[in-house]
Amino acid sequence: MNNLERFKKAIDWEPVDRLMTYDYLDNTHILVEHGGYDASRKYTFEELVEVNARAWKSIGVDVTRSIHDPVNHWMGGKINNWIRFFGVNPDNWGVSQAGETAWISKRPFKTLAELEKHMPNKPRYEDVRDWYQPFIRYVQQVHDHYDVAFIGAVEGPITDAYTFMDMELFALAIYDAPELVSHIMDCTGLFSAHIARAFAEVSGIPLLFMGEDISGTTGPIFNPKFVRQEGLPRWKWITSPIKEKGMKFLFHTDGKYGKFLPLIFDELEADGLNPIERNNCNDIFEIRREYPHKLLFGNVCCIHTLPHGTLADVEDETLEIIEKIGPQGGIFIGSSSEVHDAVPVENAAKMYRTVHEYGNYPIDVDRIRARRDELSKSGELRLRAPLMI
Amino acid sequence: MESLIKEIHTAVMEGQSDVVQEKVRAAMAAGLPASTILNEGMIAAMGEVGCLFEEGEYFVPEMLISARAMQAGLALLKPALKEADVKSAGKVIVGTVKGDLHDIGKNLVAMMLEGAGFEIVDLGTDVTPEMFVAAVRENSPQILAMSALLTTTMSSMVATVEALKAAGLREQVKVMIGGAPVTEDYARQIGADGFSTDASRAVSLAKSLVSAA
Repeated sequence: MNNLERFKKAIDWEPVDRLMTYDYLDNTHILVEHGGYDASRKYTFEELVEVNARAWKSIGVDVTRSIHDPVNHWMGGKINNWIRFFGVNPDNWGVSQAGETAWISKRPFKTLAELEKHMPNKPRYEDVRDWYQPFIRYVQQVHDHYDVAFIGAVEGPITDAYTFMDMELFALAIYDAPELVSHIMDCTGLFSAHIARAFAEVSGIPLLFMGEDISGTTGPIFNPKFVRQEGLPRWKWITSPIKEKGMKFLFHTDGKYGKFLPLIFDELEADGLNPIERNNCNDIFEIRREYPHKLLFGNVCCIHTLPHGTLADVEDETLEIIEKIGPQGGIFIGSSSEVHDAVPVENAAKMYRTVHEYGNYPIDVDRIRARRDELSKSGELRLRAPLMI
Repeated sequence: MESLIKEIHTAVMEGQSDVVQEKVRAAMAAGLPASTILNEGMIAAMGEVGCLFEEGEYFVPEMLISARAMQAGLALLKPALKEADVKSAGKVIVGTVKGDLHDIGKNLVAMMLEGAGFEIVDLGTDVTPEMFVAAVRENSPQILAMSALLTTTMSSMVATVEALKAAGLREQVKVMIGGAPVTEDYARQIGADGFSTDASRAVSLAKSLVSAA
């Protein structure tokens, strides 16, 4: 059974031979060590896709949605899409990059009055389709070659709107100019809905991910009433073509999002969640208990355990997920959001290796518990060491 | 008189900048001291906004429009406050650390601190340890507040604390940190004086650090 076959069965809750790994790569060291990336030369898009797929295969990731480009931050690509599909003027927009982050440093507006003069146009389906379908076909084909399943991904309409406007202006506009927010969210929602439709028409992998960051580490960023009123209808534009084709839909928000789960699962009818941020935000075991039939993608902590833990910490946290959720299925194990540059390559590799070593069905829970017991007595646990009372 | 203060309080909480300005003008014309308008009207309202945020009743947009209303009122009050020699709650330097361009969390903290009567020196984003040190030397603040959204940029916080020590300034300023990956443990590890999970709690922390100084 290859990973594509395994993934299709696993997201349908059918029996498979083993658990799968999933992750988002934002780590140049992994590209170098596992993909053969050479920082001294320039890469074409096709070459980058190849390097990424090779790196994932080598380190042990079965499913992904990322193509990491160590030189050009993805924020630049976002502006290119607005230029291409929203008709914004390229001269008015610019991106600054510092370290591993990028930010829109130039916009043609700072106030709502100025924004009104620079409103985006609604994107046309044919334009989006003609750009997206060759892209996803090519990327999935290359990843198929390396036996890595590449899922589709879109940005959520709220996230894309506040990225376009800037968070502060967006937040103020919710009260001062809701009609502008509504139009911009129509544009961003339609763009993602067009991608969803184009994806559903051609994708060999039946799962679409939507990134909609509506929570922070202490809870919702926005009033849930606003999210329900303005987000939910546009989310349904995106899920509609996916559901029509019998595909699955994965909802992403960072942060602590427990308050949104009824909206995401009961009203939107999303099939699963990624990420499931730890860091005092969410409890994956509680979510599984409350929503036993939802797919979960995660959640070895990428804020503490992966960057700062020992190999034993990583192994123990991974084993706990396999032990407690693995037997029921519907879990795709990886980082709690992404494998970023502060994660040592050996820690990431340990996480994936542990899944492949202990995640074969039927899951041998006794063996896992014995290994966890061994780890806890080894003195090698640092972040996950048992509390001495 | 009391009703004017109450109206200012309500207008700040509801984020009505125009109403705040109208009522502040009326209160000043009625002879209310600027410090009373500030403390009992606006700062008290922002304190309640912070509580509602912590309780999950207010969210980032509500906090922002209240902070904007507060600033609108404060702009009218500032000359009178200066004339009456009303002291600020303390001076705080804020900035997002080197390599990190995220600013919404830092801006919210700055607004809420200003709403609580602190004087703010905002260094912006991608601030190097050397820039923080220079700003501390120049402004002599009570507090230096650093923000980081990324695990990869957190290390700049420890570099800044070390740079303050090397410059002989560490004992003169309290250091508080915040941001998604930052924890109390991390604050302790790097020798910061405090950590906050959000903008509202940052205000309580800043007050406690200033009173402990």
